[in-house]
This record gives sequence, structure tokens and C-alpha cells, in this order.
Amino acid sequence: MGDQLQKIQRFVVLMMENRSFDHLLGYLKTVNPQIEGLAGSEYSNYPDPATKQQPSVSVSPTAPPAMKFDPPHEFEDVQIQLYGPAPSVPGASTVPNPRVNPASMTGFLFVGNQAAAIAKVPAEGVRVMQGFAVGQVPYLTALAQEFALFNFWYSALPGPTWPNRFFVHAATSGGLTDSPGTAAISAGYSFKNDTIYHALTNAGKDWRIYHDGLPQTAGIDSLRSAYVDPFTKNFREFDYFVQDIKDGILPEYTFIEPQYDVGDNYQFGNSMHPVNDVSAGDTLVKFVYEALRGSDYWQNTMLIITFDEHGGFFDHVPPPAAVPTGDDGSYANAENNFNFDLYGVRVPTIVISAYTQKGTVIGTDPKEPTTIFDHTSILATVEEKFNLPPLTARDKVANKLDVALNLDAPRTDAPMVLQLPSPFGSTPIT
Amino acid sequence: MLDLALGCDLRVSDPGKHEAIKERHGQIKTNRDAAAYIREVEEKINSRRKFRRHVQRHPVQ
Repeated sequence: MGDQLQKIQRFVVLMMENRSFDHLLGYLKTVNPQIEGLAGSEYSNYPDPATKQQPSVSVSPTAPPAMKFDPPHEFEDVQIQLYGPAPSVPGASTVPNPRVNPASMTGFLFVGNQAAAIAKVPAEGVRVMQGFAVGQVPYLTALAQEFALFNFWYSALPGPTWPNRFFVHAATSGGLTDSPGTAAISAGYSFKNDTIYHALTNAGKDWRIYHDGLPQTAGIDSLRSAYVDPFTKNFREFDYFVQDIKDGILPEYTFIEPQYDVGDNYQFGNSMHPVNDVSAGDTLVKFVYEALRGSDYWQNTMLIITFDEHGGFFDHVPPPAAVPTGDDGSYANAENNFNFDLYGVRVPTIVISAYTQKGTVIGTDPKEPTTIFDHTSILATVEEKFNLPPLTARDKVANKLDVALNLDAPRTDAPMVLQLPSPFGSTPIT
Repeated sequence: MLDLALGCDLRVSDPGKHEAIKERHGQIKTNRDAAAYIREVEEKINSRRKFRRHVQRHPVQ
């Protein structure tokens, strides 16, 4: 085991929804040039990159707190976002250009405009090119500046929520590349080597999933059985999170699912889904951090805040090659012809611990393999810590998060309370 | 999540009620109805846990 991981006894993972790195934290580059983000308007997409007849739209720090439409990000959409749409005749269905390395990252606006038109808000399509101004998402921003921000953390595949979330639990999606249909979800998913929770149980380690509403993890057959079991200790309503910390019963591995509010079309959730007001998710981030920071668990816990996928928002870094999972593809869509040899678009990830130096930025060269991380990096780290076998070939080789434990002694200056920036000085929010 | 609610509902319901549950799920057409059904399933599962906690706190003597 890496010496640094000996300092950590517990992991808490908070996985939010659907935001790209550039969109959410990219403009932090204006504060810290080490961050591989955005300095101004240096990247752009044409509305139709095949013809370039209309003016291009540049990135800008003008993102709204909530979107008026949900930018597409199914597998086929992401292919167009990465490689641009192939020239087509009017009325013909749109297909992506052939895959190239590096991806051109030229089709985000095209896809966004199409979806905005369908949603009857055509002027809103340009929003997919916009990022948040520094301070607009204050608590997440504070944590990114206070602890370790990963420059090159990619979603596990170029696709939507479900398969990407399966990767953080199972290091595979069993071949799934799109959002699943009724029959598959209703039946529940199963993976050859099950999930990290199964491995933890076998090793005698405790785990728990906190949820606010129906948990997506119940889409996995073995976890559904635990979720519906009235005697379960493995699923708890999020309302119990703080009390469980106070009671000293935080397990070795905790996964937190936010409120998605899918039934109300995401509007009142706190997952940072594009249709949510981002401040609700930011408040959840603050709540989770402060609960741990003020507890006895602080000195030996690693908190990981990440996002399942990019949500259709622009990012300027082409995803690199990935190691295929090497398991079966029971749920594969043959039309997509994808063998999981490419990561998805970058997402923001922050690793927080008492052993993480303030202002750490992980990764300076996207071509350096040791700086590339994805959701299976969480699994690889937990497996290393608890001596668990890898679930698939992906987590077997994933870079681990001990790189963010860069202090020999625990720091004492980590804020107990996250504060809003104020022209009159920082003011605690109660 | 609507389909996930169906899967969970089937898992906790008597098999004799499965056809009726599937039929109801198939008839959901609006976001409002979907939200109501999802909340209903959440509550069904949470109430089982609450009952278990209650029993554990107040065991039958």
C-alpha cells in the first residue's frame, strides 16, 4: 500500500450530476494558471462546423444558475460533440464525423442548438458554451481552491448518467452506453464481478449509501435487494448523515446520492443537474464538507466530490484513450460499436482531506498517463486501501488518489465553515 | 427513475399485484403523475424501514 493511504481509514464519495470541467470550474484558471480551464474566450464552436456559415460562439463566463433545457449527452450526441456532425443533406439524420485522435471538440453548440430548438427555447442553445464566473458556485469553488482539484479527470465513457454511474460502483457498465429502457431498469442490472459493495462486504468492511429520494444504485439488482430490505444498514435516508457521524457509525465506504427530482423534471433537485438551480447542489456540497470537517472523522477521511458526466456542456480537452473493461458486454448496443477504449468528457473532481495541501492541482500534462483519472480511480484507491481485488481491467490499472495526500502531517487550517465571498469580507453562512 | 420506481415497487409487492402495478406504470403520461408514483414508491420503502425502527425501539415483550 502507498504509505500515504495509511493515513486514511474512510472514504466518502459525493457524486453530482452533469457538468463539464470547463463549464463549472474552468474560469478558476483566471485565479490559478495551473488549472487547465478557461482564461477568456479562447475556444469556440460553430453552429454548424461542417459549413461554418454562421458566426462561431466563444466560451464565456456567463452561465445561468439553471438551464431552460437539458443539453443532450446520449452516446450518439457525445460523438457529435467530440468529432462534429458529418455534412448531411437537409432532412437527413445527423451522424458524427469519424473518430479521430485528438477529438476536435467542435459539436457541442450544434447539439445544444438542436435540443434548444426542440425545447422551444432556440436562443438558449449557446448556453452549452458558457461557464460559471468565478465565485458563482462559491462553496465548490472554495473547496477546489482549498484542497486538490484534478485537471484531467474524465467521465468513464462518452455517454449519459446511467452507464457512468455504473462505472463508479462496478468499474463497468456491462457494455451499456446509453440510458437504459424500462425493461432493463425494471429487471435490474448485474455485473460479472458485482460491485465494490460486494467486495467490501466480503472483506468485512462496512459501507452505506445515503440517498435523498429513490437511489440510482437501486438500478443494480444486488443493491436493489439491499435498498428495499427494511432491515438494511447499507441504505439510509440522507437526513441521517449528520446524526450517523455524531453517533460514530460512519462506515469505511460511504456513497452519497443527491436528490435528483427526476419526477418533477429535475427542477427541485440538488444534484446540480443542468435544470436544477446550481446553488442547491452547492449548498449540499457545503453541508457534506462541514459535517465531516467538524467531526472526529476529519483526520482520517477522504472526501471525493465528483460529477458523473459532462451533461452536454463544452469542454476543451479531448478525452484520451482508456483501457477497456475486458468483461462481457451483456448490455451493449451493437449500433454504437464501442469497446470502452475512450474516456468521456472531463468532469470536475475535488479530493478533500486533512492531508491535502491547500491549492493542490493534480496534473499538468494531459499526455502524461499518471495524470489521467476517471471514476474507477475511486475504486482503485479503495481496493488498494482494503486489499480488494479489481472488478475489471479498467480499475486494475486506474491511477489512485493517494496523489492528493501530499502532506506528512494533518493540516489545521482547513476551514470549519465555508464562507461566501463578500465585498465586505468573508461572511459565514448559517 | 420512473422505471426504477417500477422495479422497486415490483420487488416489494405481492406477486399477485404485479400485473396491476405494471398496468398503472404503463398509464403514466405526465410528469406530475410520474412524480407522484416515484414518491409513492419511495414512501412505501421508507415506511417499511420506519416500521422496522419502531419495532426495534419498542420490541414486543
